[in-house]
Amino acid sequence: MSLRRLPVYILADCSGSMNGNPIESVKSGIRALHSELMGDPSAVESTYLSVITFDSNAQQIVPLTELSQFNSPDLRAGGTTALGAALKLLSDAIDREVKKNTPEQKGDWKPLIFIFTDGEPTDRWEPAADELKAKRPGNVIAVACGDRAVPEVLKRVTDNVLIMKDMSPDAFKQFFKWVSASIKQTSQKIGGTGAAAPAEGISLPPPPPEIVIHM
Amino acid sequence: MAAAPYFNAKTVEGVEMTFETESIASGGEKVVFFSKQHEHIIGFFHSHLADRLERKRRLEKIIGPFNPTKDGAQANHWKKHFCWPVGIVDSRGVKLPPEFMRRHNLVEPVLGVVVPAYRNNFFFRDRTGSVREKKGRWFTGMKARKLLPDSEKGDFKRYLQVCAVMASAVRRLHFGGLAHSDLSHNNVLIDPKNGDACIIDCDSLVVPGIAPPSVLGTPGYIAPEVLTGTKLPSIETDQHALGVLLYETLMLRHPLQGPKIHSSKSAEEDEALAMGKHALFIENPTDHSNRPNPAPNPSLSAMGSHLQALFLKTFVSGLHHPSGRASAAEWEKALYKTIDLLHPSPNGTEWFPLEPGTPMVCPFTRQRLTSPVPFAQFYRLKGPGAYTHDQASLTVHHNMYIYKWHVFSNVSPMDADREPQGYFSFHQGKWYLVNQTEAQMYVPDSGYVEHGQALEIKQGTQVILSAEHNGRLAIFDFMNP
Repeated sequence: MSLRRLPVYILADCSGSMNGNPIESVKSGIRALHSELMGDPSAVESTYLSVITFDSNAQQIVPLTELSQFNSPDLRAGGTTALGAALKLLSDAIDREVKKNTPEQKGDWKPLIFIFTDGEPTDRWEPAADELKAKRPGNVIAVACGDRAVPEVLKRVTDNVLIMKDMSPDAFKQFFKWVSASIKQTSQKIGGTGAAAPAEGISLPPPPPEIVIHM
Repeated sequence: MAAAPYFNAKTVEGVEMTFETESIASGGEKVVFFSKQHEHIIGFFHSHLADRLERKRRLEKIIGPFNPTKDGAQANHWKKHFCWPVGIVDSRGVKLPPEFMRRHNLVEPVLGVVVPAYRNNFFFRDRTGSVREKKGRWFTGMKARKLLPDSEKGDFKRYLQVCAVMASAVRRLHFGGLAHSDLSHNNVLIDPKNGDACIIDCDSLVVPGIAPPSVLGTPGYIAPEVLTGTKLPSIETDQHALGVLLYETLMLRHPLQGPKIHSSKSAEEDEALAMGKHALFIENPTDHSNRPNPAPNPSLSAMGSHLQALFLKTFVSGLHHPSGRASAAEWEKALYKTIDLLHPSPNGTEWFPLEPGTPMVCPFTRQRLTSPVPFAQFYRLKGPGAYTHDQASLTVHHNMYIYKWHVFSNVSPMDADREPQGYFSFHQGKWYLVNQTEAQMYVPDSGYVEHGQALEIKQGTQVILSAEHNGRLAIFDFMNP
């Protein structure tokens, strides 16, 4: 099969408000996501995972890594919500890590990017959001978690905004299951889309009932 | 957490069944549940189906008049190699709680399809007790394959057997006028350890008289003319997908994914052209612009003359001309003929097709054979005393058995018993064929070889393998290193 990679970036909010159950749920969610994907040969072939966390700063704690080499990171919650810094870091990581399609080389598939945050950004996030939306480096799905997240902020990053009011461990579990189903489906469906579907759009499985699409 | 561990359903056909409420998986189209005894699986289609009525009608035809697993002498054989739907469940047959419906994205009226659970040998089982289906992609994907235990991988002979099973199953579908429309390594289970295969996801078959399904197939397997939007899935587009499946299974690479760049705009656009409008076989004998460097191993020529001819037919002359592709029946025959050409590698770990004109080197182990190898051409009686070539031949190795499909011109390996009719032996520097048929073998101008007797095989030896009706004439030659 093709050597093209499907890069997947997960941007996780690790600010102080995530402390306790939520951060533990995210940790086990990423672990479950990895083990679920390892059970799917198409995902094993193409998927590369990266994790970017943000609190008072942003950090790429796992660079883009082949699925079978990926180790789930340890996450800690604390600090504020530097979403802007995370978006800037994402943009740089994509420039650096994702192989471009040129007349000389076969590049990677369009990255799949999942962002979730439970609060309002505390840094100057607008320029980074605008830049990302203008650049469209991949298919971005943003999730506003809990009561304090502001879907309108995420709308400035992407048109695909989901709302997950419930932050219980089970809701996170369902969320990561859906992320894994989305990656699996994309890893199977990437390729010759041709006339069947426009290259721009991706179709993901319907999100679980805990998550609603923000219109 | 769901309250009840089970729910009951009655199929349209009138069978009562009990299923677990905890789903096993949820895909793009369906969410699936085990029956209580894990003998069946039910899949409910997600959300609202625009073509619900059509799907139901299609399923009724698949389960009814177009069902190869129901009647006929070979029904039990096909049950093994298809995961064929056995029942439909609609809203009259099942009442599901609202919370359950919501959780699984189901809406009234529901539509579910019941299929048998896969056979045991199609699951990996590891020490932790986790269970995984043996989708073909595990064996053909370079990274996925590395994660498998060696004991699961099988040798080249087993892959040819896997391919023969896949080709025969597709041949059976096409014989009945059905097209699968979504053949891919995600929709076949293979067991190379035992040379076994099973086609799954048979609910979107193209049934004559019913509109084709909305599914166009899986990328990488969709025929160029479907990608360019000029044709819909059909038997001819299945023939393309089957060619890709077989090429991947035998060569562990994709026939159209080479280095040629078709668009630098995006991976998606490049791939659409590489699989569609500009599709070009990586081993095209005249146009080398999509050829990988270094050259892939094994090369197409290492597959033997029969398979080489069909791959060229499917991926060169038939790639953009659907009527020129090899049929499933042709593949099946070619695969059995290739199995007859197999010779063990010198170290005994692999098998490779060997016939006159090919190098006497195993392409997998790169080891060279150092002694002459006998090779038989088969002829059948055409008229009194007149024989004609039977389009069959056999590469001989030590301790090799021959079967009825070798001895008789009217027996096919697909339906013959596996009772040995003789064997070859290399003994004290000489080659022998030992007769185990019920009848005599006959050497023209020389005499009979009785049951249990051995005939020495030399350059030019001629023997009629059975004095009974339809016994073939074998003429031996030697391939010399």
